[in-house]
Formats: sequence, structure tokens, C-alpha cells
Amino acid sequence: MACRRVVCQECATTWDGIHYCVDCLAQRRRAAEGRTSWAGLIVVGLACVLLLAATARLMVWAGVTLAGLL
Amino acid sequence: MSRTSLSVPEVLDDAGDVIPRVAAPFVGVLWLTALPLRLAQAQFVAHLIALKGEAAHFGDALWRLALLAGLAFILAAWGRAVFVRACGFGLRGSVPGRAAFRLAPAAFASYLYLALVLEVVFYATVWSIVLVPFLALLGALAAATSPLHERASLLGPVRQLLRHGRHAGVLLGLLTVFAIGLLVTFVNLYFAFRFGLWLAGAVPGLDPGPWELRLRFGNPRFVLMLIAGAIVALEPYWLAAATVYVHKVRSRGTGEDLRLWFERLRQHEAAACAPAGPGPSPPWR
Repeated sequence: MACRRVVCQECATTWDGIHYCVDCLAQRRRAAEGRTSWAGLIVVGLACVLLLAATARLMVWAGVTLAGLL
Repeated sequence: MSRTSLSVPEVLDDAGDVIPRVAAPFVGVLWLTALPLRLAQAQFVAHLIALKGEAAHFGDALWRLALLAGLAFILAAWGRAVFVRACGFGLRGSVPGRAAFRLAPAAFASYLYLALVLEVVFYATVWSIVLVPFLALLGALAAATSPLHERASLLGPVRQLLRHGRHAGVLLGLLTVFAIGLLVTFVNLYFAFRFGLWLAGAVPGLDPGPWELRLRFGNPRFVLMLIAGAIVALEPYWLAAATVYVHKVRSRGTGEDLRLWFERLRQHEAAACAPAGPGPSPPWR
């Protein structure tokens, strides 16, 4: 059982070789439905753009700081 | 029956088994996508070494190079995600084909986000040096957990990373092994270049004199290329080990290790024509 709960064999559904109870299956279904969540993708995409700019800025800052010590 | 804890040799053994299964073409994909990033980083550091205290006056040029490295980082992250996915197929006993290239947008976006967060932490703390190996470890774990992101979110990838970082002993063991591996690869690459130079000296009409100056430790660019080369050469093993580790941690929680063991046992029995040998050992040895 994925959630380690004790459930009889009749109540468990085997999927991809793993036994799931009703709650776990519902959770997986919700996750599968949410896979095409564009809002989440846009938020993460925006965060990536900001982080990319921050990475470049920090790379220059760290580089210049360390180069000054040489 | 009780299961033993994860061990470093176990993870390395399985990683060694997976690499040949996915080597063609996925190690090539990983190398090709990682090279631009490593070359851009090496070029960036070479400029810094050349400029020294004057580096602050060349901020625009360095910023452009840093941006280029950032774009190369996206390509390298994609290559890492594809390689980890291919290793996942290899671990389940199937041959990774084109399916390994089909990354779920949510999984890749979440991984890229997590990798960039780690990159920001890396550059913010690079002066400390002590954190660098741990961030390299987290970077590999972030790549290895990338197929587990079912939806794009800001906290989900971090939670996934923390969930798989509990076996500190094994992770530190892997880190130590690969740190030694990096050193050995670096030395081997150096001697490979020197050997090539020595061989070139035997070619009539070829003067290895100018290369003698370039291919020595006094040349920072050569040292940077050796470091970049050692990292690129070791990266497939590093990522495969991280993927195996994540796979083992996850499968032990879900019982998938037992299912895989039974599958291997069945395959072993099916190969009846071969002379009888010892079957696969159970995961709870």
C-alpha cells in the first residue's frame, strides 16, 4: 500500500505495480487533473525568468568580488 | 524480514549497471547540452582571472557573458532532466527511446525553478567554498527528483528535494566518492593532454613548443578546461547515482523494490536454457 495503511486485497487497486487505497487513488487522480494547470506553469515560468536574471546578477557580483581578492 | 539501510556500494553498483543501458544516445545528449554551460563558465572565470581587480570596470561584458551562461544553464537543465528520465526507464528494465525526450512541461518547469534557486544560493555563497559540494549534491538530487513533479508549483519541488535528502550518510558517502572521482578524472585528463603533446612531438614538421606553454598548470585557461572536462566526464555517473538513490528511497517506501525483485526473479527463471546460476539477491538482504 502506497500510504502504508492496512487494507484488504479487495479494497486495494494495483496501478503500476503499487497497491493504492481509495484515498490515494483519488489523490493521484487530482494530481493528474492538475497536470495541465497553466496558472501554475505561468507562475513557475515567471519565477524562472526572475531567478535567471538574479543568477546572472549574482554571478557577476560574486565574480567581481572574488576577482578583487586575487 | 527486515530491510537493510541503503548503502553507497549498492547505489554505485546499480548506477554502473544503468549507465551502459542508457549510454547511447543519452550520455551524448547530456554531454552536448552540458558543454556550452561549462565552456561559458570557464570563459567567465578566465576573464575574471585576467582582469583581477579591474573586473568591476567590465561589468557590462561580464553581465552579457553571465546571461549567456544562464541561457546555457537552461539547455543543460533540459539535458539533465532527459538523462534522468532515461535512467528511470533503464532502472525499470525498459529501453529508453524517444519517450525519454518527452518531458512533462510541469516537471521540467518545476525542476528548472528548483535548479535556478540552487544556482542563486550557489553564487550568493560561493565565497564560502564549504557549501559548494553540498549544493552540487542538491543539484544532482534536484535533477533526480525531476520526474516526480506532477504539477508546477513553487514549494512542491523543494518539498520533494527535502523528502529525498534524509539518508545523509549515503549522500555524504556518494559526495566523497565523486569528489575523489573528480580529482582522479582531472589528473587523468591532464596526463592525457600531456601524452598527446608528447606523441605530437614525434610527428615530423609539427612543433609542439607553443602548446608546451599552453598545456601546463601555469596557464589558467588550461586548468579551467581540465576542471570543466572532469565535471562533464563525471556528470553521467553522478546523475545516474543520484537517480538510483532517489529510485531506491522511493521504491522502498512503496514496495516497488519487491515488485522489481520478483520481476527479475521471473526473468531469471524464464532464461531456463542458460546454466543454473545464483538468482538475483532480494532487496532485504
